[in-house]
Formats: sequence, structure tokens, C-alpha cells
Amino acid sequence: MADKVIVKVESEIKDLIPNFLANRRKDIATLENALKGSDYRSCQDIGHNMKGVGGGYGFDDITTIGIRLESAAKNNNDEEIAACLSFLRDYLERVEIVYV
Amino acid sequence: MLVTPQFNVRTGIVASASLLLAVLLMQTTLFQNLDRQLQDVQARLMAPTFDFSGLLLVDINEDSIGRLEPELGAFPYDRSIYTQVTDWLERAGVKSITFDIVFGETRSHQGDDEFAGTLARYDNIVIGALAVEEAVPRPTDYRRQLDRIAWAVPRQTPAYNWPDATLPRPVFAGVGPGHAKVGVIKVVRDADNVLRRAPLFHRVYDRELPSLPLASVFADAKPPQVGYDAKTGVLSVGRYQWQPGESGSVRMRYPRNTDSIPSIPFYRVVEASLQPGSDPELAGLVQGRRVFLGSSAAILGDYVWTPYGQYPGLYAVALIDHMLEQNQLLLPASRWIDALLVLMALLIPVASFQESLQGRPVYNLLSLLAMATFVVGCSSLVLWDQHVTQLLLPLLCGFISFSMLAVLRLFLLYQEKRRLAYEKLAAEQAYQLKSQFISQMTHELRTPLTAIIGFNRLLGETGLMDDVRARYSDVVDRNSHHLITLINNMLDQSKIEAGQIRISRGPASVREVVEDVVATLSNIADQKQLKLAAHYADGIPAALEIDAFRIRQVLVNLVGNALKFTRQGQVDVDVQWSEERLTVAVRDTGAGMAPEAMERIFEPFRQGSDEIQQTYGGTGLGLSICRNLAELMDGTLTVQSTLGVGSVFTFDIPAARSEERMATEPVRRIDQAPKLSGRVLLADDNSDIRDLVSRYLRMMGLTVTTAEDGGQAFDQALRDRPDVLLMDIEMPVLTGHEVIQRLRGGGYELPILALTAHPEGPEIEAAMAEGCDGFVAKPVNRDRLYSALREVLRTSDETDARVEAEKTA
Repeated sequence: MADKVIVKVESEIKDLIPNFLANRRKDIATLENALKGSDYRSCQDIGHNMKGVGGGYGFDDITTIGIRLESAAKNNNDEEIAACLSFLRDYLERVEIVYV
Repeated sequence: MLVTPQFNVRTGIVASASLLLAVLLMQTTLFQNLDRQLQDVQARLMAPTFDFSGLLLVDINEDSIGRLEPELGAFPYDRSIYTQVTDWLERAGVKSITFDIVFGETRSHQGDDEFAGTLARYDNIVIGALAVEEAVPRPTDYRRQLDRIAWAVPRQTPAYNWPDATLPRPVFAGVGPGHAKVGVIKVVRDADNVLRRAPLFHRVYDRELPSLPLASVFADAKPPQVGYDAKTGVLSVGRYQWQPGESGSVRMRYPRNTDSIPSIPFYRVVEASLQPGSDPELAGLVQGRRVFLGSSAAILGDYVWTPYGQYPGLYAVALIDHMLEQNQLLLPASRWIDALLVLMALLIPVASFQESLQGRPVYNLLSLLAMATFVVGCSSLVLWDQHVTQLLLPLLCGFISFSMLAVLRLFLLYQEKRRLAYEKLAAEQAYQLKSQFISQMTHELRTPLTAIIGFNRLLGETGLMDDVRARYSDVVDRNSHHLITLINNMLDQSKIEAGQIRISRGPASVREVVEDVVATLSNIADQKQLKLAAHYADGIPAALEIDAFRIRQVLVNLVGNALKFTRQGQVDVDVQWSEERLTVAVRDTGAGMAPEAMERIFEPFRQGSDEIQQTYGGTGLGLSICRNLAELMDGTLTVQSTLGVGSVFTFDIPAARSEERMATEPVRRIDQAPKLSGRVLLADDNSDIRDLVSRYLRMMGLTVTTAEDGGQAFDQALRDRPDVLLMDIEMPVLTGHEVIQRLRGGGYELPILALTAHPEGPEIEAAMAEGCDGFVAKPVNRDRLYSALREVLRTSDETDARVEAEKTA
């Protein structure tokens, strides 16, 4: 749990990162609610979004999570969605950004 | 004309074969006879008209023999009558008298003596000797007689050789040097018995005697100087020069008016000689002429066949005399002319059969005519100059080469006809298959469309439960995708047939592609309760140089098929990579196939069997496209199958390890790349995307405006007319697809790039078909974004240059 995840980000987009991370935290909240309400459509959308956005900012793992989440949501797989959710939470706490 | 090596080889073979055959045929009697007759006809057409005013025949014809019989008795006569006639003729002033008679034995003593005296008195008389085929015992003074009458002729002079000759008997004293001459009467005929050649000298017992006509040329002169140059073949006799042919004979040039040699019956001369002065007309006639005295009586059988018909030997003697004197002889043409005729005769038909003229056969026939005309024309021209060329040989060569080429052409036409018939059949079959495909496809397209229409209508009803609505929506979704897949398959098939599909390799993770495929099809697997799993061997590089889009297409097809045709069990996808080759095997536990079906399934528009067609539907295009794609990637797609057990489809392509980093790796500095210039409208509903991409765009030197949904995107695009519209495909209000459709439909021509999370899916295909100029995959990679924009925008340097140019223009 204590292991840090190093993410290299281009310094040119440094100022966009806070907004990005904030949006991801918002995603987590939305996902939680959607899972509770079995709103698989929303889960899928969030996963889809994450998939498309993560890598661009340098957060490959967010893209990976996005793929998993989207697929899980398509299959209405609560367990898998929950797993993605917890991983995401954990990830955001552990991530450490290095600007290059 | 004679350019292709193939043509030259063919020319060479045909020409050589024709020449060889013609030369072989030359040895046959048929050829030789035909050749002679042909040349006779040619000579006849070009025959001159002779002026016979210097000649006169005195003919002891049947009429004369009849008339003179009471007085002179039967022919041959006592020599005294010749004395009488000779005296009269000489007094009338003839130029010379040639007796076409061999006085071969003694007659009356008195008559012979008289005649001997006559012969001694005049020096312009020629009498005949006769060459014989067999040696005959001769009296002792024979040799001496021969010596006296022989001419001095060089040893190497060509002449006819005889074992013996009958000389005049008795030995007339007046015959010899300074007095009457002796000429040999002997006709030499060709193989067809026709007289065409006239001998000049006859050799007997090592002595040379002139022929009778030759002697009569010199009747009123001394025996001439005879010289022969073996190198040039020129025989000079006195002031004449001839070029004799075989055995020293010359070839006669017949006139067309042989029968107009003036001739008077013997009896008339006899009567005139009995009463001098009684026939002054006759005396006037004979004056100054060469007189030839002989008999044309049929009972003597002395006649010759000429190309013009039968003539008495007497005529022939006079004719030959005239020809020699007037140099109306035929010489062989030079070998070069013969060679030229043969060459042209061979080549004229060859030329007409060469490729570019292989249109109408009439040209070939015309060439035959042209060849014949050319040969005969040239030959006749040369004949005008009294030279004889080969005539039948070149004509035969030309005809043979023409025939060979005509047969060859017929054969080639026959082959062509068969090939065309086969191709026609193949085309008809292909057309039939296509028709079948179209009708099948129409059915296939109608099925999902019906579902879409039906379920969509149901969706329109109010008061639906959420789960029912979701189910209906899912059906519409599935069938829409199925429809687009069908259409894309058809598009791909057409593109493959038109050779338009290009493989573009780039660094990609094969694991990602396979996972994506598995994820896409896992629904279907779950529905049919089949297990679907991928297995990866060790040692697969993280990135390979592959065309991920096309590989995904192939794998979707293979795995989709595997799932479709398997009722129970599992489908496995085995991935391995070794020695620069990527191998993906799709294994199923389906019904399997018979060997015949295994090849048939790869043919376009074909299914494994008709039952499969009916049970599973489909257009039969998928596998043929997959195999084509595999081959375009320099790889293979093969199948192994066991009935009742299952099938394995193996996709194997060369795939090099990729040196580049993966597409999602963001750390790549491209600050050195030239700045772009222009205005970009960025449309995406995701704020993170908008922020990131705008930032990238500005870093590239572009000005950016944004839109949050399809509606805004549409309005702003029309209003601002940006240099590029960079737009997400999935957006609210209006989707990317709809925006593109509306814009393009309304005549919007500016570039549109699509932003998509599925760069390998049917959506992007559809978007491209609707009018996108390119696409950028999400997650967005800066390099890829730059490359895509570079395609549709100029750099700022280029823009400045353009502006400058416009200013100065």
C-alpha cells in the first residue's frame, strides 16, 4: 500500500494536472453512486472516458482501468466494477508525478 | 518492325525451313519441269521480234519432193542437183549457203565429183556432219579428214564430247581451210525434250568441230580465233563473245515470230536454176541472204520441240545462227540477284505476319500476291536485259514460308479461341457467383434492418420498463453493428479486388489487439455458454511492427466464426512469436469440416456447403477477405480440421520487433518539428480532453476554439470555418457521425479529423466513409496528433511563403 507509482508528465501541461486529478476524484464519486444504483451505463461511460483520457496526460494505468471498467460495465459485473473502483482510489493516493 | 527477339527467332526458323524444303524440292523432276515451263512462259511474255530479213530457208518439203520426184527420183537426191542449185544461188548473190544435210555416203560418182568441184569453187558454204553416240569403225583417212575440218580451239574450252562423228563422204576436196566448212548437226534437248540450248563446239577424237549454226555464222569468213577464259567463263569466237553454260552451250532466246522465217520450197529454186532468168523475183529475194538448205519433210523426222511448238530442224539451225549473230542469247543472272529474290520472297510473307499487322487475314493473302508480283516483276526486269534468274525457287520459298506462317497463325488463333472460351466460362461463373452473392447479401442486409426497424418502433412506445427498453435497445445496437460489419466486408472485398487495400504497419501491442477482440466477442461467447480465452506464449515483444487495424479485423472474423460454428465447448486463441514471425491460432470444438470444404471456404462468395449457408447464413466473404489480408501482409491463413472434433485456423505473418516506444508513451519531445499555422475547432464533451488537446494544439502554434457537444460543433464549424475540425465521435446532442454527415451533406469542404477511442473499429470506418480526412486515436498521443494535422495543414513557414507570393503576385 505504501508503494509509490511514479508517473512522468510533460512539463508543458503541468498546469492542467490539478484539474485532471480533480476530475478523476469526481469520477470515483460518480462511480460509487452508479455502482450502488446499478447504473451500468454511467459506469461504462466513465470507463470509456478514462480510457480515452488517461494516456494522454501520461497516466497509462488510468487508461487500463478505463478499459477494464468499460468492459466490466458492459457485462454488468458488479464485482469487477468494485475492484476497479478500489484500485482507482488506491492509485490516486499512491501516484507521484515527475515532470520531464 | 523486326524488333522482338521472339519474332526474329520465328523468322529465322521459318525462313530456314522454307529454304531447306524448297532446295530439297529443287532436286525433283517435277520441280525442274515446272521451273522450265514457268521460265518458258516468262520468256514468251518478254519475247522479242526478230528481223529475219537476212535469212532464207530453202525447204525440201513434201511438196517439193512430190514435184521433183519424176525428175530427180526419191529423196535423198543425187548430189548434182545441189551443184545446180548452189551455182544458181551463188550467181544470185547469196551471202552464204548452209546445208542442213549430212552427205554421209557416196552417191553417183559424177554427181559427187560435180559437187566437190562446187564446194571447192565457193568459200561461203557449210555442210553438215553428225555426232553419234557410239564409236563406229572409220576408214583410215578419217583422222586426216577430221584434222582438216577441225577448228583451232583451246583445250579447256567447254564442249560436248562424242565418241564419234559421221563426217561428209566422200571426202570432198573442197572442204577444208579456205573452202567449205563443216558443222556438226546435233540437237541437245533438255530433260523434257525441249530445245533450249544450242551447243557451240563438239569434241570428237580430241578435235573440236563447230556446230552447224556456229559454222554458218562464219560461213563467209575464215575460221575464227577462238579463246576461252576459264575464270570469267567468256568464250571469244572471232569478234563474238559469249558466256556459255554447261558443256559450252548457249541458251536460246526465242522470238515470238519463229514461224516468220522466210522460206521457199526447194522445187522453186530447182526450176529457177534450170532456166536462169526465169524467176527474177526469187533471185532478188535470195540476194544478200544467208540461205539454209534442208528438209522439213515429216518422213525424215527431223524436227525439234521448242517452247513455241514443233519446228523442223531446219528452222532451228537458222534460228540459232541468227541468235548467235545478233547476240540474242540468255545468260544466267548473277547469284546476288537470285539470292535477293529468294530473300525477299521469304521475308515478304514473314513481314505480313508480324504482330502489328495481325489484323485481317486478307493482308496475309495480299502479301503472298505481293511476293509473287515482286519475284516475277524483278525476274522479268532482269530478263529484259537477257539475264535469267531463278524463278520457281523464290516463288516456292515464298509460298512455303507463307504456308508455314499461315498454319502457325491458325494454330495460335485456335489456342486463343480456346482460351477465350475458357475465360468466357470463367467470367460467366464469376458473374453467377456475384449474382448469388448479391441476392444473398440483400437477404442478409434485410434481416438486421428488419430487426432494427421493428425494435426501434417498439422503443418508441411509451410506458416501457427499463429492462425491456434496455433489451430492445441492445437488439437495435447489435443489429446495427452487424449491418455495418456486413457493409464493411463488402467494401473491403471490392477494395481488395480493386487492389486498393494498403497495409500500414506501426508499433502495436499484439496482446492489446487480442484482448480487445476477446473483449468484443465475449458477449457472444457468454450467450452461447462457450469458453473464450486467449493464451500467450513466452517471448512476445511488447511492441511489434504490425497493422493492428487489419489484424484485429482478421481475428474478429476468425474468432467470430469459431464461436458461430461451435455449439458447445470452447474457443482458444493461441498467440506466439518466434524468429520474427507472429502466429495466432484460433481453435474451436465445433463440428469440423471435410477436406473439400477446407479450401472452398476461402473462396469469395462461397460457404463450406449449402447446409451451412442455410443454417448459419452469412455472405461467405469474411474468410476470403482474411486470407487476402494475410497475403497482403506477406503471411498465410491456413486451416486444419477434423470432422466431429473441431478446427484450427492459423494466421501467420512476418512481424518485426518494434524499436519505437508504445503509442501511449507520452515522453517524446517534438519541439524541433516545424510549427503549424491555422485555426482549429476542437469538439469533445470531455473537459480533460479539451484541456489537454487544446494545450497540445497551442504548443504546435495553432489557434484553438472549443465546442462541448455536437450541436455547438456544427454551428461553430459553419460560422467560423476553421482550418481543421477536430471532433470526438461520441458526443451528446449530435454525435460526431451526425455532424460529419450534416456538414458534408451541406457542402462543407474543410478538413475534418475524428477523435476516437476505437481507431480499429467499424465506427471509424463509417466516419471515414462519411467524409473524414483522418483520425486521431484516444488516448491522444502528441506525435500522432501532429502527424494527422500535418496532413491537412501547412507549416507556418509555408504559410508565410504563400502570403509573400500572393503579395507579389
